[in-house]
Amino acid sequence: MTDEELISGIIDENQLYFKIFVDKYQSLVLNTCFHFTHNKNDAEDITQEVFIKAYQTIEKFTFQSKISTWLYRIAVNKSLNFIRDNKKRTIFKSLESFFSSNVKYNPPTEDTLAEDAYDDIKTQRLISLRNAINLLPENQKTAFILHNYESISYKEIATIMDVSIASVEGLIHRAKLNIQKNILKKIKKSKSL
Amino acid sequence: MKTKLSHNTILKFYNKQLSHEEMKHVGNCIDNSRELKNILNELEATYHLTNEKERLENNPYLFMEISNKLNKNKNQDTSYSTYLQRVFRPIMALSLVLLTLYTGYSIGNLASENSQQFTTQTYNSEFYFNDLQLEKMETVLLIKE
Repeated sequence: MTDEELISGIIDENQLYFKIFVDKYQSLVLNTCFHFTHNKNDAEDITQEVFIKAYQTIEKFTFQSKISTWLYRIAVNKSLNFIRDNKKRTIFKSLESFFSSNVKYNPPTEDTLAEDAYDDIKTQRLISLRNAINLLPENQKTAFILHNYESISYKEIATIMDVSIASVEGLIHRAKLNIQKNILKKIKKSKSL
Repeated sequence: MKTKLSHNTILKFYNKQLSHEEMKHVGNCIDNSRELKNILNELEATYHLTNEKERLENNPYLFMEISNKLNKNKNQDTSYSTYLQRVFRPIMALSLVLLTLYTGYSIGNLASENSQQFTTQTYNSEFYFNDLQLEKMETVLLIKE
């Protein structure tokens, strides 16, 4: 079944077509959201929001781009909004815990990792890498994740992010350097402790 | 031998962005320093993890959850009671506020009217009473003269 047929079926409110659409693109949306949030539950929640948004606005889809490009764009925007909201919540929570008790607040990025495996060197390195990616500016993070984890071409990333291909190249290059810099800082910090 | 290299130099060496001579020199420095060697190894091992593409398994209940949410949203949008609530709640709240203000204003007015009456009356009665009490016969005669 082609994407055009799927979309016209969804516009006609055929639930079966919408189910096929969700099954076809679930992996794409879920994994994109996961690479932004690093949390399975959050990624699933955002995925639901992405498909709801797609269902509600599918009539406006004009086939000027691929449907996957359109879904990537919604997924990226929803994930970035989630991270922004989460940052605000984290600040409030840390303030709350600072004023109410001396209990240390754990950042949500480490939630997904089992505590018994925490000592594992690979897990520590993975946390360090995720933190380094989280510290990137939004546009660098988006370009890096889409290129590195979703293996999307520069051209498609440029369409998703609404920038030129040269900008995408620059963003990915800077993102790689900044990730390395953030990792190096972390290593030096842990060595000095 | 204790050697110190800046972040930039280490990163340029790691990405092989230095000239041949510089690469050789920095390479020698790193070879002579155990700490720098460890740092570079750790950087390599951590950054190498970007090549591992973690993938989540699909959730078989995702479509069900999405259609439940969509139905819930649809019901909320179309239900008559919600519509009434949306329209009448602000009206009720506004009228309650206006009623409270009006009641407060009326009570305030009533109290001030009462107190005005009360003070005038007492003043008047006091005046007459005092007059009668204080005014002696001599004073009355004096004024009349």
